[in-house]
Amino acid sequence: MAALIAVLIGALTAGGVWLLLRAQTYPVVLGLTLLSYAVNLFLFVMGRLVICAPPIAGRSGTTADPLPQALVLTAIVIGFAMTAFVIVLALRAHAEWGSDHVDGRGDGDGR
Amino acid sequence: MLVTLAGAFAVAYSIRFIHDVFFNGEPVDLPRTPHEPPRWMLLPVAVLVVLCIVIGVLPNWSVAPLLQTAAGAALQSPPPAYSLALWHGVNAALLMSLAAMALGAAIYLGRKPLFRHVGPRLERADAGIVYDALIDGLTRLAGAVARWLDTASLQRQLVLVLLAAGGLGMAPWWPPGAGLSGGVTGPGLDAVSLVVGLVLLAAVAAVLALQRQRYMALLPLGVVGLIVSLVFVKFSAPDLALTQLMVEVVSILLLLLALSFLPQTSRAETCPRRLGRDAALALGCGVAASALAWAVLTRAPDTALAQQMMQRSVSEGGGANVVNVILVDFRGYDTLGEITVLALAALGVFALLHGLRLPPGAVPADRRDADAHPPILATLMRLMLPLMLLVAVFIFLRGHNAPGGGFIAGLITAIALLGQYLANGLRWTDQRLRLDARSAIAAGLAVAGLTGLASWIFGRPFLTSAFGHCSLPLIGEVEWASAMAFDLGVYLVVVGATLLMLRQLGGLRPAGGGTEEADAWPR
Amino acid sequence: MSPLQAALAAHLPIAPVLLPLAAGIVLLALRRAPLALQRAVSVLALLLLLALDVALWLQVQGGAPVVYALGNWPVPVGIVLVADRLAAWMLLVTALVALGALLYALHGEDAHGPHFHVLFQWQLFGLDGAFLTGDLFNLFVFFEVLLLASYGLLLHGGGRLRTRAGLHTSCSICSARPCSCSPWARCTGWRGR
Repeated sequence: MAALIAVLIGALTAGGVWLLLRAQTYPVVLGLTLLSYAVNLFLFVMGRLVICAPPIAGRSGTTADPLPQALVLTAIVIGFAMTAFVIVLALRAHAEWGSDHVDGRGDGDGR
Repeated sequence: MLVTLAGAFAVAYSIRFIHDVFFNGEPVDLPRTPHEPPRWMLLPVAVLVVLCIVIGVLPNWSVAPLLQTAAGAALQSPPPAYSLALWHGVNAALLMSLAAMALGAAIYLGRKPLFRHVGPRLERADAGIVYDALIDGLTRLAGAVARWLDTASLQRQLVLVLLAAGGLGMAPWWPPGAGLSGGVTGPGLDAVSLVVGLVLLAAVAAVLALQRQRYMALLPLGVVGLIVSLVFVKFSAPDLALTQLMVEVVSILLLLLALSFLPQTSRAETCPRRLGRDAALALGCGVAASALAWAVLTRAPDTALAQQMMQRSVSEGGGANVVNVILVDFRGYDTLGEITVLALAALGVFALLHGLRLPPGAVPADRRDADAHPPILATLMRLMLPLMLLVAVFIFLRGHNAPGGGFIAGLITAIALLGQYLANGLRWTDQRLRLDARSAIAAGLAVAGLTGLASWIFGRPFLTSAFGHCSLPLIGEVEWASAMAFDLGVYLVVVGATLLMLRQLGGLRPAGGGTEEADAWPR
Repeated sequence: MSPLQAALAAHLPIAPVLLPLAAGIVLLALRRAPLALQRAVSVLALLLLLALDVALWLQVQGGAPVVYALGNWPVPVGIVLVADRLAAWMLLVTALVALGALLYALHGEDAHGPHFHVLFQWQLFGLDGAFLTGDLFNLFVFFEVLLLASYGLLLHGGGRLRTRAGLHTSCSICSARPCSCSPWARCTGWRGR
């Protein structure tokens, strides 16, 4: 199971990084989204993998670690806010530069 | 050797100076005739000359005590043994002095040939030229490095950032040989998890494959988000799963909206070398992330803090949902910062869209569907609105003791209201929804801040919470917690921020500038 | 000293953080008021902040840092603020530089876009919070606050070059965010090693 989770985190990271390095703003935003999924998962599994034992007080036995969960919750919401900010910035850049290349260039190829 | 040489030159120029001034006849080619100074101006010079002679000839008698004090003060300890005298016998210093004097005299006597041959060459050997060349070279090097690092190319910046991060992250395992795995095995793999994991991998691959057809890429992206939410459910994080689901809905909505103003497809990339480099870097980062995750998952955790929090949660925090108690009570200060971040992002989006002039052809006319607001959708959304709001209130109220809380409730409310905009159009909804999003944000932050300040009245630090029980006439005993007021602040900020961001984006119009009222969202 | 002064002294470490936050909230509520009123509120808040910073600076001159436990929770469970001499100096320097910047902005820069003063006050909130905190994740949170406020201020006024620079900055920092999360996560997740 740990191996599966590690592979999933790696796949999300790899996909996110590849998209991040594209030359146009929209794939960059998709890449940031995938990367934020990867990071949220990574932070979450710092609490190790505990099945069916949510951190509600009053349950017997060991429960999952609540602290990484609390931190990831805020990270998810902040990640959404940052995605919104970056995509609107990309929109504005497109409106002002007339092209959605990340450097504002108007050339036709994907360089 | 150097000292002797320096001494020789000193002797040479001293002899020239003395010889030419005093013994070589009258000066020639002077613009004015100098005259002897008055006798009293010679007096200070004479004093210095006498001192020179006395100290030189009789050092031990004249200057020894002064030297002793000065050396002792400079060294902060008794100075080493020395003796001041004119004659110490025939030793190396005397021989060096004799050699310097002889060499100096020889240089002086042979000065005319020296001036003829060496003079012109010396003029060209200017240390200033060397110095200037050095500074110039350094400046050019600095400029080259700055141009290489601080480029106008985002991609190169990102490559550098990712390389640095990946390198530093994997540094503890270099040289390889130190164990990556910690040896702890967690839960075993079951078939369902494996299948879900494979679906996630397929979805990521689909996003990458479809990323040029931008609309199509959003479908697998939604699938990825959903599976991440399922992962949270499986590994005991119901709050996270709910939040991830809600955020997923709003994110897809956001990306769809933004995409309607951007080009619908990406241009092809033609440089295979760059694609190869990016793929290699992506693979490297992916492997690094996997390795780090594997390394952590195979090591035993430190559960002391978690246990402490679980124990204190009900008795001192007044809530059974430990995650929510951490968010609004133990680490409420963090949450205060986080809702400020939300507010800042919303205001930033507002400022960016304020006065944004879309290019005239941004939304082609044929993209506007004649049936922008199908009546079935509109009616259904109107009927569902009270239900969704009820669910939001329920999630909010139960958040302190069961999975839920202000963040999730706020997102559900925002989705409910955005659904109205989607189904019924901007003008219709704006007429009925008299909610000023920025006021909601300000109110939310004020509520959260004032909840924290209330504890000052009782002499406690900021954000100290209180809880208790009270009996209501028909309902019975109800537990209240001041942290719920803080949660209310969080709720208001989340609703206001999300609504502000998406409403502004939805209100964009091409070539009319800024945001306007209209009765159809472009699709 | 009077009870009021005692109360102020007890809560002094958090006051430089709360004041700009409150000022920003008030300014957001006053967003439709005339610009002159907003400017007055902003400058007044900054002067008050300077006074609080000086008071805090005086308080920590004794040598021992002042520790303020938020929510009255002990250290690993809750967050603490630590005001030592370095933090007090940095707060003072920040307030002075901010005063200069604000006075410059009053000459017309602040009218180029909406919500300048709100962003400015919340930038100070982020900075002061980052200097005073004693908790690593809290530091991270306040970095986010000051970064987002700085994006807003950076893009204030618009223009093509600003937009492109802003896009580059925010993408770089957003991609660096995961990279900085990982070492932090390793620190906390690694304790069992």
